[in-house]
Amino acid sequence: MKTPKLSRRSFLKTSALTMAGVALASCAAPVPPAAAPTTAPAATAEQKAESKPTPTVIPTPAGFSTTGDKGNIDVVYWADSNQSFKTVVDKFTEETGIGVTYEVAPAGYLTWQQFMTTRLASGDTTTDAFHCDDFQAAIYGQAGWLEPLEPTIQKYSIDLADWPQTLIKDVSSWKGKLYRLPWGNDTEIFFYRTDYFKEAGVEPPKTWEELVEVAKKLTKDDRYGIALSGSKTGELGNEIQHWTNQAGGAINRLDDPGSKEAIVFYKELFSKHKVAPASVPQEDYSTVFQGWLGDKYAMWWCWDGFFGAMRTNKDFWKSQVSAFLPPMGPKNAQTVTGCWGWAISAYSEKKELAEQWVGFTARPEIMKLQILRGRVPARMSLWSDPEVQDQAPSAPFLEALAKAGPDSVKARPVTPSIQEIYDAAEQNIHSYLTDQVNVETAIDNAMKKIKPILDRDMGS
Amino acid sequence: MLKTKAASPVSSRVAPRTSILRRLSTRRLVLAYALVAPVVLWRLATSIYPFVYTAYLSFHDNSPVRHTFKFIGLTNYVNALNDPITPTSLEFTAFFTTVSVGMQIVLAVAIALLLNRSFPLRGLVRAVNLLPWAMSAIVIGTAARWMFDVDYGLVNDIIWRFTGQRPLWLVDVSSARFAVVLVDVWKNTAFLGVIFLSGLQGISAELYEAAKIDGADRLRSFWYITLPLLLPLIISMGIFISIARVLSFEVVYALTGGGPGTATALFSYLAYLQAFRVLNFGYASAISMILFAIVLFVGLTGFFLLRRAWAKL
Repeated sequence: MKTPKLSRRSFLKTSALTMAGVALASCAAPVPPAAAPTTAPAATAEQKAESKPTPTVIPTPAGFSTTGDKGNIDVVYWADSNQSFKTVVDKFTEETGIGVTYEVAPAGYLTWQQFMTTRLASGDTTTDAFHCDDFQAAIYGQAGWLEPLEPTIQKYSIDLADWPQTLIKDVSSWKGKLYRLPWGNDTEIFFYRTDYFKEAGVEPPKTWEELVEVAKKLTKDDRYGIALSGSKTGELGNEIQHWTNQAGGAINRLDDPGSKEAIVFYKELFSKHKVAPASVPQEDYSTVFQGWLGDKYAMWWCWDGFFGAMRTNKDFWKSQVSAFLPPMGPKNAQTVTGCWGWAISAYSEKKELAEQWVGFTARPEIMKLQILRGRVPARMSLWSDPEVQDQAPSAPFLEALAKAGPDSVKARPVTPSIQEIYDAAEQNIHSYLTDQVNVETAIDNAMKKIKPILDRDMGS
Repeated sequence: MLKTKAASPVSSRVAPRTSILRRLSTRRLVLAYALVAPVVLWRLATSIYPFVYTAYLSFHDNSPVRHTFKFIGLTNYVNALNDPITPTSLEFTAFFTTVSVGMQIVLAVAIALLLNRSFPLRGLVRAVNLLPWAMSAIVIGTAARWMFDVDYGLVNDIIWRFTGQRPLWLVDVSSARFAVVLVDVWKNTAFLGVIFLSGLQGISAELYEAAKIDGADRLRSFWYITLPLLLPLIISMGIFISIARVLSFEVVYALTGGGPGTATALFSYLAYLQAFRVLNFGYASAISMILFAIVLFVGLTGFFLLRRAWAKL
């Protein structure tokens, strides 16, 4: 029998073919990136909703830089619509003479969080200012990786009274120090398809019971009454928080009877009432958003930033999507609020320049530019601005919430250990949602982890 | 029956090396050590130091967020072993390693045998075979997440066309575990196949010709020639990929996030979560040291098997 030997010639030939194959593979269509799991979506370009559900590929913008004669700062910002962001950067450089290197943060929330954590934990001096979320403000603030912003607020005479106070005090500060300045609001509202509601002859529900009834009437064929994101990548944690909160519980108080009631209700939406798909435990914001664009859902309780992303395609969404304030739960009708803001790295060697960036982006006219992709600005005075309402269609609903009083919204219970608490809650509640354990065991196991964390951190 | 005896590669190399060292003058010996020293020091700094420091950290409550660095003895180990996730995680790590390595070896031997045959465009097929291995595990995991998606997934689309069903791959515990193994096998088998192919090419054709004269058919030739001669390579690669499986978490990270619940949370994934998600460096170090003990056990078992295989040859 002849055994073929590997000659140099055949080795080189194989290597060349392999390299060609790898090159071809790298030219293949890009994998659709995961949308931002913890709060609102990553950028969405013009999206055509087709009759068949097709995943929408969201292009990741490239970074860019401007050059100034007074120095240069490095800004890490999420993969947002860089057209509007570029305008902000250009104006900043023009006005201050400071150049900006815009680094695009990874689109996936967890990847991005790890990216920033690694940089800051190692004392890296590259980043001067970055796009910071609720969790990071507390975690990084406690770690000493962020620069307190009180001097910046004073220096640039920023009137914090124009911001929702919960965003300033509960999710941007830790132990009395302000670590980021919010620029974009994110509050969870109930989106709904006006055409489906009209077709079914129903009105937005006012209570949980009505929600189930309305959702049942809206569910038919391949369409579901309500979209739920039960994937344990941050989304489930948010869902647990907003449902349990309405029942008097919270993600860090799962042993509260209200929490149990809410978690059981949540599961029954897809397991008993069948008004949500059985795939809820694997649905993340990205897949739900694709489903929403593909006519799969009639209602969706999610971050208002998605509204702007949906309405980008005006031809399709005009008059077909609206929103209502969440229905009343067993204890309250509150919804969850959060925000995105600018933070300055404590390791920055150009803190003064970074401060200028924060001061500049806090100005109302600049904030308006930055929200062009559809997110509501953090300044409340801008919510009634017709231009803002046109670009960020959820602005009127946030205004209505603000008029309903400060108790109509509630920030997530953010502490430096919030990620640990989210992980513990998600892992165990997900086991319950996927029929591995009963609700009591899930809650018991979760609280066995959460209680020591709370005792450790809060002395509670 | 055919028998082959391979000379031990270790014994044949020791004697000449010792005599070379004896012949060297002290001056040249110092020079030799001086030349090697930078590499050794670099290796110590990049390998031994992190290991020792990880072991040291594992006895501390160390979190950069909480600003703690406190000696707590074995508490991290006790907590790790008492964590309700640990049994599930260790069970899945064992399942994943065993099934994935087993499937990879069987399929890789089959691929190697196929690629060793003569057929048109063999070079192209060999190159295409390597493509999955050449891609990043994170990319493959993310792509696989979409492929297993209920509505948009390619896998479900094919199943739906034949059965009208859309299975919930990543919701059901068994199917999620199967999906993780499947993706891992798909990615890594190709490379193993090429390694085995090189092993096959080292087997003398004369052995097969002699077997043919003795009346052995293909199956017997495979059983009595190919497999025994390939066995040391299978075992050594088996050790290598087993250790890699115990330590890998990329596919799980991108495909299931350890879910449903914690059903696909590999033990190494728990170390990642503690180290990089919640910044509990001390606790993560304890998990890493437990992982090291597991890897050591796998390695020693493999080494023992390898020695036995060599002894039989």
